[in-house]
This record gives sequence, structure tokens and C-alpha cells, in this order.
Amino acid sequence: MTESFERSVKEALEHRAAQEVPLSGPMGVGADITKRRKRRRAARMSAVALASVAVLGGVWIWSNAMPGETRSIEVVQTPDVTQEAKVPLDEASSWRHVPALVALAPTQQEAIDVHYAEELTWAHCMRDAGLTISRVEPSTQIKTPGSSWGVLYSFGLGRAPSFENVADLEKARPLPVPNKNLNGMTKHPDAENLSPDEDKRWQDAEYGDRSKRVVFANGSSPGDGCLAAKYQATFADGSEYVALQSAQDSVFAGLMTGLDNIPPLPTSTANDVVSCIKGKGVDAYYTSDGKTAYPTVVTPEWDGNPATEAAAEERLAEAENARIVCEQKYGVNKFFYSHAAPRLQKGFESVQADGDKLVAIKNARVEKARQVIAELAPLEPAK
Amino acid sequence: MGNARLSEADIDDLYRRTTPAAVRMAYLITGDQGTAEDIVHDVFIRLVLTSDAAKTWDNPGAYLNKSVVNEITSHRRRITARLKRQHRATAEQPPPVDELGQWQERDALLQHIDRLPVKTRTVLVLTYFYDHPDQEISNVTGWPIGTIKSLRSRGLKELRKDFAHDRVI
Repeated sequence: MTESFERSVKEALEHRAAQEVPLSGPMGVGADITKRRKRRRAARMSAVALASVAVLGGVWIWSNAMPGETRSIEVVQTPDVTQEAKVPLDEASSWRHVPALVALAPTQQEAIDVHYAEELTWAHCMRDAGLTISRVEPSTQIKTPGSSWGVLYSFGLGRAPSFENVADLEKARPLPVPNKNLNGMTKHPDAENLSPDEDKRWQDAEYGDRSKRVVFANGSSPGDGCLAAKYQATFADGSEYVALQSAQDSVFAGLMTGLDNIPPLPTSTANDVVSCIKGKGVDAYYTSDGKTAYPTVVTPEWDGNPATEAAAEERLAEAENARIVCEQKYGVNKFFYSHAAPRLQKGFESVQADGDKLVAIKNARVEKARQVIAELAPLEPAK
Repeated sequence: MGNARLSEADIDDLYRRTTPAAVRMAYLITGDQGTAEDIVHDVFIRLVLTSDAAKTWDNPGAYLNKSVVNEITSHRRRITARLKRQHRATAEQPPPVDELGQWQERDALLQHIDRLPVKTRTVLVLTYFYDHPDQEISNVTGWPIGTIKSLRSRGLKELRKDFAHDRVI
């Protein structure tokens, strides 16, 4: 036991060492001083943001790191509760670049509990928050024409919201944000026994019209997250879903990972991408950063409804063969969508790269998986 | 080197040669890379700016490591307070699961290690990651060998207890 345990300690430390990210960019005393100055500036600006939020009594989530240096996300509920999100960002390299997200909620009890782990992506968080992502912009402010409720605000790392921005946010209120603690409270207490319709009715009653809600996110990519791609989808219930992916951010809304350069995409293009993929009947996407698979479920009717998700999961669990993956498109070679659900990994023995595609394989039926992928028509670029 | 005054190029070269290893060690002890980088940066700058420290540059890596350990352990309250925020958050987090389910225990163990006192963590890192003998650990930390043995023993005992408890759960 003793030797075995000590070996475990050693292995754990070795694992941690392997997670260390080499210093990036110019290295040297001066360069690191610059990095530290930026960190401090970000910290000061975070304080400004906190003060701003205190005025509004909202909830903010932000990343306190500098571009490319994201290492924690804080959730602050004002005025008297400060809690930190759970952000094991160092667990995998792909999670080190996490989009900054600022979500403003109108009520004190609206604690957005970011269960941020490998198995939970932003999409999941937002869904749990009762938020439908309807628009994301790679800038410091967002206004969503026609949005019935809105918010949002996010700042590129190193930037803080100005009070002008905050005033803009104030104008956006009141926001029909679900009046719930989001830590497991977004589901019906007996959700597992509800039919999808019942569950949806319950959620609609609880949360009202969830269409066109706004969440604004920004990335932590080098260059202040300015280089971004937008993806948008419109779900059956009319809600829109748009997510932003900054270059080298590995995940936002579970969209992509492992990207080097993502050109900005017009929303219509992204919409087409999503529609096209959904039109293929693909109901699962997997990706990998070389270490971890992120199984996801996307169904045409996927609407953030847990029951719907459960149904999709059930179908996936019954699947014998590989589900999909990603297509090379616009330089996006690892494209996935929706939230990750580790339990879906059960039964899947491997995730393999196949050219520019990633294939999740159940029961190791590699050939069948390749066949499935081969039958997929390439995604057509948007006109 | 041994020069009282280092040129800018020397400093830069020294920085490149010595800090990565020191950052790694600090990272293993603190569990937070940003903190580690800041600590090492602080220590390096201080050593470079302190003229009488220049004599230590005959073995700069070792001296930097020693200074980093000293910085971490002597300012442990401040550093620990900073780290606690992150560790507290991750402690409530279900450990990540990889496809083989192998990360759970390892990450749980790391979380337990992070909760140990910083001195204990330092000894565990130097013992199990660097495979340093006690005498070497004593050289790096400046602590008596008896203290090192005691810290390691207590640390392992604590880890076993916590880890076993978690596994039962």
C-alpha cells in the first residue's frame, strides 16, 4: 500500500507537470514584466467591473486572466455573496483558453453557478442558466436588435466595462431571467419522470419565453480575443443560438477545439454550417484535443431541454456505430457543438482522427465509422 | 559567473536558462501556473537587483530554486490565500473523467495534495517528483532532515486518510 500510494503521488505530480504550459510568446524578464503588468491591470479592471456590478446588483462571470492566460473564472454575486466558480482549467490544454463570459442577471438570487469542468461547457452552463445564446460579439458591448431580453456584456480580457457600457446594460433591464438558483435548480424536481413536453411546459412556465436571449461571450485568445467566429442556429422553439469562438479558445459553447486560426465568419455562414450539419441527421459530435473526448449531443430538436437531451442521450446509448464528427471547413478542423456529457463516453472506446475528421467509435467499429463519415457530403460554404 | 554586475544580455540569458525549471517546481508546489510564474519572476528580479546576490550565480539554477522555495514557504499565507480561492472551487468540483476513467483518482489526489500545508507539499514535490534525497531537500529548503521526514510522513498520512475516505464515498 505504502509504495503503491507513494507511486500514485509521484504519478499525480508527474501528471501535473505534464499539464504545465510552456511560457508562450517572447520570453524574458521584460516580456514577463509586461505579462505581469497586464495581469495586474486585468485585476484592477476586474475590480472596476465588480464595482459596476454592485451598482446593478447583477451577476457577472468573467475571466480574470490575460489573453492566452486564462486560468480562472470567477462568479460573483453581489452584494454580499462572492463565490468562485469551479474551474480546473489546467486539466487539459484545450481548457486553458476559456472565453470570458459576463452574464448579467437582474436578481440577486440569480446565482449563475458555473459548473465548469471538462464535462460541462459553456453551452451547458448557459442552458442551465436558462439562457439561450442568441448573440455573441467579439467586442465590448452587444446590442441585439429585436431581442426581447438582453444583456450582455462581456469584455475582452484586459478590458473592463466602462460605466457607459454599464448604463447601456441598465437600459436593457428588466430582463426576464429565470428566477432560480441555477445550481441544479433549473430542472423540475421530478424532471426525470417528466415527458419532454411536460418538462418544456414546466420550463416555459418557469422561465417564460426563452427565445432570443442574449449571452455575450468573448474569448481569451491572443490579440484580446478579437479574432472571432460566430455561429448561429435557430432552434425549433424560435430561440436563436449564436456562439462566438475566438481564435485558440478551445471551447465556447462547445463549439470547437484545437484551433489555430479561425477566420471571422459571417453569421449567415455559421447558420448554414449548423443547419447543414443538423440536416445530416448527425446527432453527436466528438472532438479531441489528443487527450480527452468531448462527446456531445445535437439533435434537430435540441433546445436545451434536459428531457430532450436525455432522449438524445438514450438514442446515442443505443447506437452501435460511430457517430460523427467534424468537417474541415473554413480552417475549422475540429468542430463540435453543444455540451459535453461524459456519461456519453461510456461505451465508446476511442476517438480517432481520420484526416481532418474526428471519429468517435463505439465498439471500435472503425470501418463502419469511416463509412458513415464517407457518406457525409462536404459542407457547402455559405453563399 | 560570479560577476557583481551582469549585463542585460547576461540577465536575459540567465533568465532563459534558469526560470523554466524554477517555474515548474513552483507550479508543482503551488498548483497554479500564474502564481508560480509570478513568484519566480519576483525572486529572479530580486536576486538580479541585489548586488550581493550576484555571487550566487555560480550555480544560479539551484540558488533560484532555493529562493523560490523560500519565497513560497515564507509567504505562504499570502500565497495560500490566493491559491485557496482556486482550490476551494476545484475541491467542490467533481473530478474530470476521461474516457478511461483514469483521471478521477489522479485528480482527486492532486486536489488533496493542494490542500496540504505548503511546506508539506514542498517536501512531497521534492521527494516524489524530483527524487531528491533528504539531504538535497534540506539544502534546497534549509530545513533540518528531521523536519523533512516528519513533514513527508504527516503529508502521506493525511493524503492516505483523505484519499481513502473519498474512495469509500
